[in-house]
Amino acid sequence: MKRLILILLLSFFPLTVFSFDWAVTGGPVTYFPAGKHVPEGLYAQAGARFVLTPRIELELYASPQITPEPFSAVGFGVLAGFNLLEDIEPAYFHMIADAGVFFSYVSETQEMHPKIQVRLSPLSIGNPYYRYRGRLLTFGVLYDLKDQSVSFSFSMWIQNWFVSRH
Amino acid sequence: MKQAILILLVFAFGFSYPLQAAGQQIPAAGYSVSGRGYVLPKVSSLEHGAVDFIWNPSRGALTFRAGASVPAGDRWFADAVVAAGLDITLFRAEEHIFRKWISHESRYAPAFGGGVTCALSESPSWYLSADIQPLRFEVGGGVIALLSPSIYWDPTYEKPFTPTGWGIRLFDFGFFVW
Repeated sequence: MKRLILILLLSFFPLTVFSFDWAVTGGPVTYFPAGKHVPEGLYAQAGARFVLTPRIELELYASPQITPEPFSAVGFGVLAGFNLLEDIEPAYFHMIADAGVFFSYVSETQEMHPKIQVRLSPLSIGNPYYRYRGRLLTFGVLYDLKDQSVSFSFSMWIQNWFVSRH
Repeated sequence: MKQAILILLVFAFGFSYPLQAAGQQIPAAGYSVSGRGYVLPKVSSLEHGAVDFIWNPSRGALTFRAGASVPAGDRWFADAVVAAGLDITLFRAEEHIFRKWISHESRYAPAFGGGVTCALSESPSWYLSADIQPLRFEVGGGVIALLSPSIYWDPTYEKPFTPTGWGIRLFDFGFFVW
């Protein structure tokens, strides 16, 4: 587990030395239906998102459980993001699709489940020029490679705070 | 088609911001949208989406709020929670370390609050609540609060000062529009 986190962090650390726009991301997320590898509760998601090209982005994030038992379950995701309508700037309104992998880990069972994740934000507001972007009503589908089952995710709001400008 | 969607979105977004031209009355009432979690008996631990009416008649330190929240996920709208209370702004600071992250003019305005909460399950349960909002900012005509924890007491419990549960508002966006 620790090795996986370290490899992920080291894999993406070199990105920070290039002159990308990048953002700190944060927001709530719900996974449903609840199961043994996605226990019921409120989850947060926090991470970093890199604007690689005007249309393509890369996100690395963690998603710990907040309620009812903080940090009793956690997920890690790596996503490629696509601005579907236009380039990220100067457009103010966007539709964003993400695709990637998500690993969920439950401390009680000590099981890790890799998943394929696809999610769509039908409306996002803002861009790096304004230093923020709010992604509204993000709906995701997760395919568990171990259980071969499908689950879903929903976020009312995910905020991107752009802290670096190229 | 794309243009039509964008025009509609611009129109909808425009209603989210109050007009503050010179000489116009500053809006005192509005609404807030928040994402919450509860660890309380008879309340779902799923993410709750909440909408509150907010009212600050003088745009001073006191803000009244009342609203409802519903759990998201596979039990959509199964167990609603209603709440009402008062937020008290402790102070306002023009200079703060998060200014760089907020593109509009902003003020750091931490607050604390209290109120009553009712879980509308088969047998409604009443709780008293207190919360702190350490990451609260006044931005333009609105208020943003992040990571606001709260605790709850059951007034009918034999030890009324022992907390019954806790909760957190991960985000809370308030807009004064009227």
